[in-house]
Amino acid sequence: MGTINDALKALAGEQEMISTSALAKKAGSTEDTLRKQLSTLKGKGYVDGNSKEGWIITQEGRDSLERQEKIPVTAKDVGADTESKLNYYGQLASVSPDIILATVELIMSGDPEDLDHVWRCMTEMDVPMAARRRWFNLWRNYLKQGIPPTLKEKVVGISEEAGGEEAEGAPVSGKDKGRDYIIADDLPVFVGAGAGDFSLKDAKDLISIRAIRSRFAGPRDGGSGQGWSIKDITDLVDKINEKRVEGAAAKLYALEQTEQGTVLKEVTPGTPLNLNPPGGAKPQPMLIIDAEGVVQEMKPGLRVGAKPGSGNPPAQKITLVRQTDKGMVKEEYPAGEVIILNNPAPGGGGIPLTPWPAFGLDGKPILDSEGKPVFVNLDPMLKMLGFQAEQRRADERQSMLSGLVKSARENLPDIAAAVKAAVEEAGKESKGTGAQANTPQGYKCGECGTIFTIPNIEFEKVACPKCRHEYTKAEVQAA
Amino acid sequence: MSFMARTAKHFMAEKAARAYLEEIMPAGLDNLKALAESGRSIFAVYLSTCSDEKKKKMRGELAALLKSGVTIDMILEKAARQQPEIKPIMESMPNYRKAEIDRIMDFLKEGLTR
Repeated sequence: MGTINDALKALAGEQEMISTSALAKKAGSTEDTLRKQLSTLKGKGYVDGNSKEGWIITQEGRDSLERQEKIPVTAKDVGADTESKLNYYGQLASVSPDIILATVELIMSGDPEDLDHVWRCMTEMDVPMAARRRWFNLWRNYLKQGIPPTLKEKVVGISEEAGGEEAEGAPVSGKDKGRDYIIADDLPVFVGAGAGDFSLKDAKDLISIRAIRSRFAGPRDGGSGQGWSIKDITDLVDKINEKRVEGAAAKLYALEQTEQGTVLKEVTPGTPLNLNPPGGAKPQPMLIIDAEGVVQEMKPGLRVGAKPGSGNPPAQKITLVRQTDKGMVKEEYPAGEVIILNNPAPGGGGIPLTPWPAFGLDGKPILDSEGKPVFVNLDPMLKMLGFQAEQRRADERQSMLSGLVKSARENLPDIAAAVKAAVEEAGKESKGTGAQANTPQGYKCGECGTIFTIPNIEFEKVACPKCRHEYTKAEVQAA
Repeated sequence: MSFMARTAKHFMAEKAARAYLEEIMPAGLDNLKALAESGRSIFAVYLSTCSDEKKKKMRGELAALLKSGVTIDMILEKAARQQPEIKPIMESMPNYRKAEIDRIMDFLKEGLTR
């Protein structure tokens, strides 16, 4: 009696709110223990209420009882403080709640991290030996401490379990020989000869198994809950292999633990696989699945590759380097595939740039670490040259204009004098033309052809100076 | 002749007169006056100080001026207007101006005959 399920069962018989003390009597438990259990149940939504108003079971709690579920008490339900942890490990070790309460009280009166003190308190409270050892070891592991040498025989109980003859007179029994390590933070920690739980090999194996299990188990509480089992992985590999062309090379896949989660990667034969990524705190175990779906852990020195004669050599690829808005982009295409390059439309604004191979001073192309040519982007340089040319043209235009202005300013007096002289000259010529207009008009005689002039005086008749033919004024004016 | 061509002709005459004055004025007005009174040609004295290369260049420029309608008389007249002190020197001796023009024309003809 006194488990969390018992508390829930005791509450199920009540139709109204019941106080903590009444429920403790009914459940056969102490109030303190029951209060913690009720608090846990309330957190899970199985009960409602509080110590002041009383407690009542919820419908969810009743459903859970009908399903005969065992209510799990997880580490999350336990407080992070030392007392709560001690209580929790006592429950896990199947120690009676009353004894847990008394023992924890006694332990907390001293130093709970002093394992000799803890063992002495457990002994004084008469915790049953089997449960005591379980409780002590759980607590010791929580504190990441080995078994104190003084308590070695008592805690391990070799003499009791094996008859005690082997242990007599030997500080470390044959069974404990080499058990010098405990596991702390998934790392084997040496705690003294025979004072640990595992040998170095066992500790490493256990750490590996835990790592594999935690990797495939997925998130433990909440989360997506989509853990990958080995079967899932092998099924996935089978699916991939089904798509494989008959006779093609068998593929290898590796599972790598990254910060983003577990990543399935294809292993290319002949390519080195880095098992210890730089910068990592500790090397993460890696699994590799071959074409037959066999899963094995990657270890340094393990050779990975396609089985001989299992298929054709890897297909050739074409590497294409393009200039995009995001810079130089390298793309790979299978050999034989048609590649269509989308160049910008003419007049579309952008200048279609061709990557320009870089050449060294010796005239040879510069190659990168993989032996591929290095390409340079000439766009910024072309823009700079264009800008400089435009600046130079603008400077020349400005210089020419300023020179013209300066020249005009210097020659302004001469220009003014020239214009004045030209005007005067033109005026003189026009005066000359006017004087010419005042000269008498000449007439040609119709009889003899002689040209003669008429004086600017009034006349009625005029005679040709040669043939003396007379012309009237009307005839002269009509000519 | 258009007004622009006429203006250009006078502008070139003005520039030629200014260039001529820049060449002879460093001699000083008194010296120029003394030369004129002694009947010596100022232009001839100036030519005697010029190198053959400069004479050749001057001859080419004068020929171009004459071709574009600018006369030596026009240049001298503009020189007298730009530097009024020159005018009394030109008129100090009878036919001095005509003699100067003939001297300049002879200088041009010397270049043509060579």
